Amino acid sequence: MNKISAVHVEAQHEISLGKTILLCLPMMIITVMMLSHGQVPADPASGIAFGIAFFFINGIFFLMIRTGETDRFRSLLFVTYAACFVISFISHLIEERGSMAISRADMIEGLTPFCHMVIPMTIIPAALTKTIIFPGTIIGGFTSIVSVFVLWIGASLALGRGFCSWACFFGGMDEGFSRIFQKARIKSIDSRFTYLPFAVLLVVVLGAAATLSPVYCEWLCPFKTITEFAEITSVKIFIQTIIFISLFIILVVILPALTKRRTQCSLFCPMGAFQSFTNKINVFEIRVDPDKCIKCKKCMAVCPTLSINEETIARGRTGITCMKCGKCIDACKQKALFYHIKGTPLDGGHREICRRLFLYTAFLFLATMSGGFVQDAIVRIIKLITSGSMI
Amino acid sequence: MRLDGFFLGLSNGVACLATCAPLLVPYLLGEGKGLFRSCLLTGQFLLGRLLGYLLFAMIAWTIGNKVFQEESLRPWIIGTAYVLFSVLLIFYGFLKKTDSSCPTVWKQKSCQRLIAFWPALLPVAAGFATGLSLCPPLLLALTGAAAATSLPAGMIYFFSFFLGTSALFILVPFIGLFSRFPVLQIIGKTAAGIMGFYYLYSGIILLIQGWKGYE
Amino acid sequence: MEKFKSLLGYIWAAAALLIVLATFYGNDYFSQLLARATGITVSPWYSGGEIMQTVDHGNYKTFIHRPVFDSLIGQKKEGFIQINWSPAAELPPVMKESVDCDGDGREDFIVTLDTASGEAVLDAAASRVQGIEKPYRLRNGWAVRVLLKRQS
Repeated sequence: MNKISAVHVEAQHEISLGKTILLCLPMMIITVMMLSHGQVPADPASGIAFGIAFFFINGIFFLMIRTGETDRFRSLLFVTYAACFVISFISHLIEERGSMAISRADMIEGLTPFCHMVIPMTIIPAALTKTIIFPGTIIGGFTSIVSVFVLWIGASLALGRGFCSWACFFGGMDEGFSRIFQKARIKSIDSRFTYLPFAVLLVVVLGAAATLSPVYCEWLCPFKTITEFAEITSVKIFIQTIIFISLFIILVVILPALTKRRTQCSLFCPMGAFQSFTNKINVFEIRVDPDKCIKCKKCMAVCPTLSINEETIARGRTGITCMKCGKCIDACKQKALFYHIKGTPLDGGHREICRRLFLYTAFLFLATMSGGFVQDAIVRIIKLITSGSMI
Repeated sequence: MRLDGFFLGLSNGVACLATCAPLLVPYLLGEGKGLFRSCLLTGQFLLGRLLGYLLFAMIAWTIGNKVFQEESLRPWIIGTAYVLFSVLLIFYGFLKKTDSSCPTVWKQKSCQRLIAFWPALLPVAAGFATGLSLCPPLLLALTGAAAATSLPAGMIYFFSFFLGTSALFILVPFIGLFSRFPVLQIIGKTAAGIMGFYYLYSGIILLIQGWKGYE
Repeated sequence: MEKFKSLLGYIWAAAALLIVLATFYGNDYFSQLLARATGITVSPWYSGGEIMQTVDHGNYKTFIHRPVFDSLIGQKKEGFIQINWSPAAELPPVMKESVDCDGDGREDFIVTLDTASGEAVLDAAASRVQGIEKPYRLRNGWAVRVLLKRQS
């Protein structure tokens, strides 16, 4: 019985070129509209950027559908997205403000883009005071407060914690550094550290409510190193600066490289911990077929967020912190792990349908989020080559 | 209400609940005849905790009132206390192995005889005893109360701390939610350890202020 | 029953795809809806709070915000009041503003701002006035925050 279902699943991965193109067509049509915003590119640089972004993104999706592998191609786009985000974001800041540093004047005028990482901290104050404890504008523009909330609500409903592998540009940085070396230098991590993000979440949510300020952003967020940060005008801000630069170097660069895990995302990020709860309301999950599993623990060894262990395998699932990146699925030679839609049968015939439905949803989100940044970064690189400046 | 005291209590409430509930909940539910009885017993337990905390508040403020006659000593003493207790809290949160036993005295034979004589005393006594256990968060709360400007202010600070630690106990009668005590314990203690860094920073700032005042 | 659950699962999965499309295509619409439904605003600790009084000086205006002592529950002991001047092009070299924070008819402080040097001087007339932050140069004007102590 197992041999038959294994062959059935294998055969499904080798789909014809024609069928692959047919399956990719909807994605191509939607991405053309999303990337172009319904307009023809205004200048040659924008045209080149559109073309590269379109073929790159759809090429990735084509390979995912054709080969049946997910994570290898997803991570290529995901890391590119993160790198392009940094280029685009920093360039915009320097164009707008002349600096990556935020001044109090910028905060008063609401010139700071709203960051999704602050969302968990805003909920209690918003419920009790009807105010958002972050500088910015409520409405107007892509990074206004409510527009980011709408994006986050949509991502949470559609992807659950898949947000961390298919939407969050910060995760792409962590992921990029975790893929530098072939082998992990630090092979084991104490499982108690996987609870640290939840403890950080508890502290920052309570701290933010007590002080009406985004405690994580002010004190702990390592990504201020490559986005924006408060002007150093006091000893306190200087200490905060030292902390976030140190955390970036340790949690985003060094530890991911040494462990080949996403250490910031899995061992520290409170937004990731918060997002884990949305897995409960999300329709997609990763399941384990106990008949096929030979307990080789390869999935445990590769999981970037330590979301699989013997206990979860025995339950036939991944843990609540699963980001649905697909790395465990691709790593399992027995094809014991698979994407699943809650409520549907677990047998082999439905697995490819579940995978494709998940891929359409998740990849569309990733393509739309990344498309704008990839195009803008390409335009800026072209500008750098032709004029010597990205701005 | 003192929000800082409340949030110190709330951040430690998870650890408090996860430590005490595994022993208390079976008793409370075993004795309880339905939700109302469980709520009544939990309320008695919390009353005992409140009495313990208020007693502590009085002692802390009385000591603080004697020690802080000299205003210039205040930042030195509070700062040093914050630094010492925060280091303890960091150790408690990150390094001390999780101990599932509840730090009460209610299992002792003399207590058991008294309780057999007056059964209603048990939940109140258990609450009072848990309120007296000197864990690092409580030591920090003691420091905060000692630094209060008046006895009522100190008691309000401890009352706020009590509300924070007890907020989660309201959920105890609804036992179904607490099947994962070990996980809650780890999260709670780690959160308490992180709070330790905040108090370490506050203590250092107070010591610097004291030093500047000295100069 | 199994078939029904399976159908619901697939419908839910298809809905997830539609949610993604709606999130991006309908972002403007849903943003307006969310903003209107919640009535949410930026915290006054960042925005300065609502404008309480506007003083018309002819070429330029002074906007005096409400005192900010907002806390999660109740009010904090210390806060501030923000004063804005605009438009930048019409501002005189030196501006002097007398402010009554609590509307009791008595002046609480006078703030003098030198737009050339960016320096502000505070002349406090009430004990609740604690100090002044350095002035902030905005895109179209200036702002200062005067620190206050709440009097119960």
